[in-house]
Amino acid sequence: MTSLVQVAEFPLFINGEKRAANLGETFDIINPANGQVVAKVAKATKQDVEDAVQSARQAFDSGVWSRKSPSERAQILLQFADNIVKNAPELVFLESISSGGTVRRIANSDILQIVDLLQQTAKFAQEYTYVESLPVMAFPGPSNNQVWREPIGVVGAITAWNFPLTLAMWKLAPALAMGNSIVMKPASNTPLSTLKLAELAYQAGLPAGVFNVIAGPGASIGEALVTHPSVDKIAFTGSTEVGRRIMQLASGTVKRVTLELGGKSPAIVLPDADLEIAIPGILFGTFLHSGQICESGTRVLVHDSIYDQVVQQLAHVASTINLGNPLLETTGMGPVVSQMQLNTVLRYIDTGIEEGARLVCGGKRATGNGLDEGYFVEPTIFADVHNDMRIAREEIFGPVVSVIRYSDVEEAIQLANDTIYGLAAGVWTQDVNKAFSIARELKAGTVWINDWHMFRSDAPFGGYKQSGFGREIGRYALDEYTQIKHVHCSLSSELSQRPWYGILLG
Amino acid sequence: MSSDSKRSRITVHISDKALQLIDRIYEIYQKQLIMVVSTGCCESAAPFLYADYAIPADMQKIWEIEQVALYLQPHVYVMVNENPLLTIDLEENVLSDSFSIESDYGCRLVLNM
Repeated sequence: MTSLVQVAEFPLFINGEKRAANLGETFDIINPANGQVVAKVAKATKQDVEDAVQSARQAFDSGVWSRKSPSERAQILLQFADNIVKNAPELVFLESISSGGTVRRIANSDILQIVDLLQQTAKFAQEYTYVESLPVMAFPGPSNNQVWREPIGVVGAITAWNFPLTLAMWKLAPALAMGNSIVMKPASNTPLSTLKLAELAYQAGLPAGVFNVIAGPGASIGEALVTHPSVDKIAFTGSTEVGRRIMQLASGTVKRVTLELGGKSPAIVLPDADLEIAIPGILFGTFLHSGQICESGTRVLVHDSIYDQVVQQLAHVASTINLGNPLLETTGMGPVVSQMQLNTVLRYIDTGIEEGARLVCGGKRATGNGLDEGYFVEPTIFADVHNDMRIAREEIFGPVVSVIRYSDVEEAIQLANDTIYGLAAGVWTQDVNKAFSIARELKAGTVWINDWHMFRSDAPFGGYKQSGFGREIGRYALDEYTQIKHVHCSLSSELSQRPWYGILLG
Repeated sequence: MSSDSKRSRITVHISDKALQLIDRIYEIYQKQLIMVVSTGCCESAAPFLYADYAIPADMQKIWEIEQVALYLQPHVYVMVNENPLLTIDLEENVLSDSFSIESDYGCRLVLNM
């Protein structure tokens, strides 16, 4: 028996309308759960990038969005949030069939988070200080001095394939709230939900040209966006090397850049950790979305005294994770995003074994029970890992965790910080005072104590060290999408009141 | 194809299909390309191919031929020194958003070490 799979076509979204790519080419979107083509997407060219940027530029310069009052913009953003709620089932479906994310996660977490973020950002934008008056000084003066916060202009946003909706909204919400226009390039594996977001934003009343989406693989599209002279800022989530490259390319036109890059986040488990919570918490922190999260706790540092017990319990509970079709509500963990990612993860597993780490759980591609055609990897746990092994130093971006032994807290902190990354870290202990003192020593942009993956719409997210810079989410993100202007107005009506001219004129 | 590095004991093997594509790109740019092995998020450890690249002072050049010079990030250099065989291959028919030149050809350079 064969079944016919209807393959939908997704055009680009430029200047308020759907349109085919300039050369009419498309590329396929593969469902990682079964390897089947589920959609075709217009493949943007440099001309499409040019058109999108010009639309964004014209929209920004016209003031149709940038000169609206914060409350007017907030109203449209709130309507956008409502549209997301009304179209949630479709967004969940598009996200799951392209990214392999489970509907259990996307429907119960991602959608709620992006709606809340949009609503909260709309509120923050109305409370924001756009004009600050400085004190009047008698000399040199008198004068009126104000500091204005203005939108930057056209934002180029490039997002990764692991959380397309979430990563899009982290940039979209503050960029739009502060009056910018945006050209977004989602990852080529997962553009469907972002294209749908653009439609919903437009239907909410966002003017044409303010939010554009181009899609397509390859260096040329990304480079065209990053180097374009009419783009004023780049916001990027992805790999550290690409972030490095973007910094170099953006320097040609001195663009503002915010980067959210890789991580190899440590979870320190103290001897007094409540293992009844810590064990499922550590697994949640590592295997959610098959480990394809930049801030996943992929190095678990466990005290000597409880090491064997923790390893055994982690392996036992990990074996109960339900791997399966991400469209089913019963599935806890889906596939990795692509064949290429599957190959990468399996290579790292081989590397871990070659390096002498002890495999205690998983370690193979998952097959059987309908998984054969998909890119599924068993939840994999390595014990007896040393921090200088490749599996402990490189970001694998799959369901693989390294459990490392330590003897005292100072050693744990040293191991935790011994990485080029600094995106997140965590501490599991019942001594909260101790947890806070450890948090102070950890070089990471987020520290979770007795939990993981906890995001909220008013808390910033971003990295230390080579995990990037700039902050997303909350009021902190609003500053990233504005620029500052000092406006000085002289109140001196007589030349004699301006003795400083004598510096030149005598 | 393999080559003894001029600067270290690291041996680099580059597959025929990877070299063919690099040759093709070299013919377009008419200058030595730069390949950087770096690590990151969605890419993991991978080679990145560029025509122009501002090479940081602490990056090590460990291999070169007429068409391309290979550099390693410092932390990658430390790891490779313990496993001194680098194999660079090419995966074809893949979607890649890397800023590496070969992604425009529907391919991605991959690394084994």
